[in-house]
Amino acid sequence: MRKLSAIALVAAFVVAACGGGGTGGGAAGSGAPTSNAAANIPDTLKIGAVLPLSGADAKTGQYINDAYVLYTKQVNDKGGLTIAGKKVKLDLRIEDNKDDGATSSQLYEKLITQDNVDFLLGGYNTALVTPEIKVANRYKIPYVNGGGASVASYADNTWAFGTLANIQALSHTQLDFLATQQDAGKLPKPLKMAIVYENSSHGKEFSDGLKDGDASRFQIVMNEPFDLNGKDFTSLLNKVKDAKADAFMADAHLPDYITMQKQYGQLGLHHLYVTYGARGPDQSAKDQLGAATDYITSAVWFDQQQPGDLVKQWVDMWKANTKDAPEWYAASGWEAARILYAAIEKTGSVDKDKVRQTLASTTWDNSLFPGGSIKFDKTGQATNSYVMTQNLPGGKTILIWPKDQATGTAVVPIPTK
Amino acid sequence: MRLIEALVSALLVAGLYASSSYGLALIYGVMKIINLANAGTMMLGAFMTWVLWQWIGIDPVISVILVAPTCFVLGALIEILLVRRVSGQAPIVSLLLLFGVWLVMESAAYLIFGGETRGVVPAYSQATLDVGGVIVPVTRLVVFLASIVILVGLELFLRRSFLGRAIRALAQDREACALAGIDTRRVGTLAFGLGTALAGTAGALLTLVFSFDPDFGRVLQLKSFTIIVLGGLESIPGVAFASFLLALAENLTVTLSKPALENLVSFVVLVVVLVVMPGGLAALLRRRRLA
Repeated sequence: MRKLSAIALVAAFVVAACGGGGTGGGAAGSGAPTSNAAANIPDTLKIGAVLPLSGADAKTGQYINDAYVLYTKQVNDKGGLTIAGKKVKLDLRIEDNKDDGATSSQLYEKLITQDNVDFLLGGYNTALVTPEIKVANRYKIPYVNGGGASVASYADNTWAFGTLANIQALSHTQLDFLATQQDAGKLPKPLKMAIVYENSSHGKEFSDGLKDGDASRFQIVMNEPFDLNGKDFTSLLNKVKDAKADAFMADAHLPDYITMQKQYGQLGLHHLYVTYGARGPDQSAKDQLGAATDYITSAVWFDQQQPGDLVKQWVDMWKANTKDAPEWYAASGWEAARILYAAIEKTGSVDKDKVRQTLASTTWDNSLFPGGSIKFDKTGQATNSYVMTQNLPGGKTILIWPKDQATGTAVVPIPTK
Repeated sequence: MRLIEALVSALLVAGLYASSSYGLALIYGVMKIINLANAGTMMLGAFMTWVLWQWIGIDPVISVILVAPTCFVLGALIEILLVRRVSGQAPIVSLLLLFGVWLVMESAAYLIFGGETRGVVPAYSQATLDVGGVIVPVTRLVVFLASIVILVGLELFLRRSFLGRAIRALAQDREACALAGIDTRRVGTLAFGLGTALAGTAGALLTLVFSFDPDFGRVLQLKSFTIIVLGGLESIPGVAFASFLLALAENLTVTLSKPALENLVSFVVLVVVLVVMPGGLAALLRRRRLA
């Protein structure tokens, strides 16, 4: 009975997600043009993706992998995409880049030149997505990713689209939230910030975004990069300690967040506000660090506590079909697959340039992301706003921003132990 | 005050470095082999500790009781089944062989545990002591004390026990040992096993301080090279002293300059020591005594 309910829920969700109307809602929209063009449509479309399924980002890569696989399965279970009136099955091929940028580019080239894939779904993390986007542009193949937020990745780009809004906007969201806390008398003005960021364009944009803060409100007392996938951040954190900041503003990927936060606690550091950028509510960090993740604040592209039936249905569906937590990585992968497939259907053709134009010109409704729709800007990147979360004791996470969606009141300043 | 903090911090970091370098120094001293699998063994020790922690809640310090003997057996098997077969060949052969062993260990760990970053978080993991205004993390203090215990225990073993003396003799002159009736093969196996057990122990203890994944040990291994070269390649007390010097150099560099320079310091020291005093601090002290 429970299984039947889950299947019914999945079916209901797919129907809801795919009923996008004129703007472009989902992969199984019925408004696709029908013509003799159907004769040129293959029986099966090959979709290629390369993800970090081993290496430091394997956990995150797995979320996106599961999203791609599950969404593709749901489409195929309904008979496939409807392109110009013809049902077309999807053949999804996912390769493991072992968290290496050069390998990722090579594998995308292999998918394009040897496996002859028709369209591409993207990978994860700035260092990998940046070269992947170059490959997509070189071979002129539409590519939609759910794992690359750095503006630098989309420089000179025509063929790639990213569902994640840029990192400077993440920093600006944090500044907006901090300003409200200052105005409420919970944080000092100016707030002394110690910024540490991963040594990548992602990290640099985080730092640049914080530098945009009003000087009367925010004072940067430390601003240092660190190498990705570090094993020991003792020296960096000792420097943070010396900076005597009020707020610890870090930008880190999941492995570095786990490593750094463990050592942050060991060194007895305490700040009024702590963030790791888009990391914080991750279940694997909670599993590994326990109470050491309490009160960490993050700005993310999606959180399962967002309001709306669509989000609730997706979260239930995700939990019923995977062993993963419904984290933003999964939602962004889901959105990437949904939008690519919907664009192919809406175009009514497998012509790559036409699909690219559809991707660029359409507002993709029925989105899980804040605002409920995704529109790519001229660089190919989504412009949705962020939501903010905070971890609380007992493994709980609450939504704290925007105010009208908050599920709890943020604990600021962080209490001393 | 900042200088005292820097000294304390360097001492605690030295404990981490020394723990991860003892095994490398012992095996090089006795067998003249650079055990690149040292990092793999540390990783293995860390994962064994994590499994024991997850399954039955054994504290990392206690887990050493199980991890060390297991790694000893593993090391002895590696020596008997692999290293012994290439003994007598050019040093590059054993170097590549043990590099291969490390990669096998790493790949196996990825297969079994995945690439996720793991952590062991006992109740005292976030505890600190305030010693005259200097904050001392309890976990680092535990690792530091353990490294002292290992240093003293190892020195006592090598100087007071028959087997320890045999190991030292083997380090000094393999042929003379054979002529004196020492079973050099057996002693070599024991030394390799002991060195591997020390690496596994380091892995277990370091889970108190670091999160880890199958790539764990790589950065520390590079620092261990610097330490054993600086310490004189075969000297266990030299390793302890070199660990402190390196940690202090890194700490002061970071304090006075940028954290990004930390690793640069290690490798500059490695290059300088190899060129200026290839025998390390131990050779320098010997020369001074003779003069």
